[in-house]
Amino acid sequence: MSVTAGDTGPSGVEATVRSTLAEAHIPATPDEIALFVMMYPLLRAKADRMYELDLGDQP
Amino acid sequence: MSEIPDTLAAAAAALRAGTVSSVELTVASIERADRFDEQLGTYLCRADDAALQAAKQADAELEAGHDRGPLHGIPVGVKDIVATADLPTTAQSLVLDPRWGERDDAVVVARLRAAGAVITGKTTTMEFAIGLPDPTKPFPIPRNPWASDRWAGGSSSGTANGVAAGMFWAGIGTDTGGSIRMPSALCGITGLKPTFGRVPKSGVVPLSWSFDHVGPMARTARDCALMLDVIAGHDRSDPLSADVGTDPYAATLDGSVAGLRIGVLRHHHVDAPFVDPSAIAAFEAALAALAAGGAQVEEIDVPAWDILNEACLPIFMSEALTYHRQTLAERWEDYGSYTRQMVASALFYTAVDHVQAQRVRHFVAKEVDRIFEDFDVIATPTAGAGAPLVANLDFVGALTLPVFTAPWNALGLPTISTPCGFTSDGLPVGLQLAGRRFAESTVLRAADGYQSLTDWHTRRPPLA
Repeated sequence: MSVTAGDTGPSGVEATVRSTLAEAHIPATPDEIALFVMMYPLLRAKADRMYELDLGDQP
Repeated sequence: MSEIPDTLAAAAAALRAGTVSSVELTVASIERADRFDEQLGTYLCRADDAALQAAKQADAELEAGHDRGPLHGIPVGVKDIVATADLPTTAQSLVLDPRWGERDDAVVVARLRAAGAVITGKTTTMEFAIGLPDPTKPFPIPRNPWASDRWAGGSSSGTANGVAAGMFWAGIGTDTGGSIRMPSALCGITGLKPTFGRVPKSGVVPLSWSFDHVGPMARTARDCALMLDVIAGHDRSDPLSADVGTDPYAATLDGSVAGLRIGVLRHHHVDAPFVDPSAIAAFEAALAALAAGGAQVEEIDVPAWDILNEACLPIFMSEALTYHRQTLAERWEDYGSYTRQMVASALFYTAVDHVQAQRVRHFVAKEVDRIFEDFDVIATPTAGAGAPLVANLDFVGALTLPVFTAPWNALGLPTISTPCGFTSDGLPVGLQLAGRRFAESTVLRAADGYQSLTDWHTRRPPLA
């Protein structure tokens, strides 16, 4: 998996999206790739919010 | 024909009083479907002949003194991700193997049949209970009985609009992120997501193993309780089924909220993006009604609730992707566009995200357990707006819908949505009430008590 949470620059995002889809053999259309590129920073920003919670040693 | 009662409880009473027969209920159900199914997109598959046969048998049994209980002879719809031995199960998808679930009823369907219920057919869903309606695929678009240019909500869409339109008296839905409660709220009916494990899931197409729940949808809390009385309880065929005793859910309803301690979770709900102020006004009026009815209503806050909200998708979508990964690669074009896009989006989460999401889930679960030491139920709006226009449904639109249901799936706690008013556009909205683990009785009592104080659950859509 080549997803890098901090890799949110325009070209980095598209490369990440394309390589991730390719590794999973997902034949997304060009429009869908554009959608994923648009969505990726939003999705990552929401996921990254989880790390704002200090859970200490809690499992 | 006799007057047809419009709640399950009333129909059950009328059957026993001899003022209506199961055949009459079933004929009425079929006639309503003839009139409104095409407009509303309720059914994927109707079982008119089998339903009439079952109704005749129910009448004969009742006449012979063999009473199977309150569901005996009652027409019920079943969401089409739930297997029925005599009808296909498609999950509203071109992808699912058409032999899936063949010749076996899901545990919940077997329990309904054993209780004498009349299965009227398989109701529409979003494909695999995720995504959005896709007009490029050969399936109905479920519409809202209150405004046919609006969506019914999902994913238990056909069960919700079918109950609202009077095509059956109750139905089975499933709920992974709100799929019972959200369409119930948007269609103006009552829907219960029981505690995780309370209702067995054997024979139900999985979406997210740790978020999936099966539950009842009907016009009233009492009707949901009558359904839960039948479908709840351990079954060893489901490894996630809880071996915990059930309660007599309908029998313990007393039509009162007096003494209930209700914690109100406003933050992250009434102030959420895209909420309609008139939906929030309905929620506030519901709280005032509960207080006037003798409940103790008090504001609460749950630490990290907003972060739990963000933790839902990495778990839920990753589990869905695990189930669909192979077929997504092989049959991408056969999936509906929104389904495949939503499920594939889980590729952009990492393993660490999934672990952190589970940690958040456990943290908030402990916080909520603490709150339930002082409160019986927690109240929120089910959604912060009425049903969206079908024309506006797309991936981004779905993400901006102010729906407040998913955290309760992460926590696995029993949660109900009851009608609580209308938006300024005349669209129904719901009050969501959650309770302690396996305390369905308390949640149902709160909703039933609220329904004894208000008449929103008695409103019927103006179908032509």
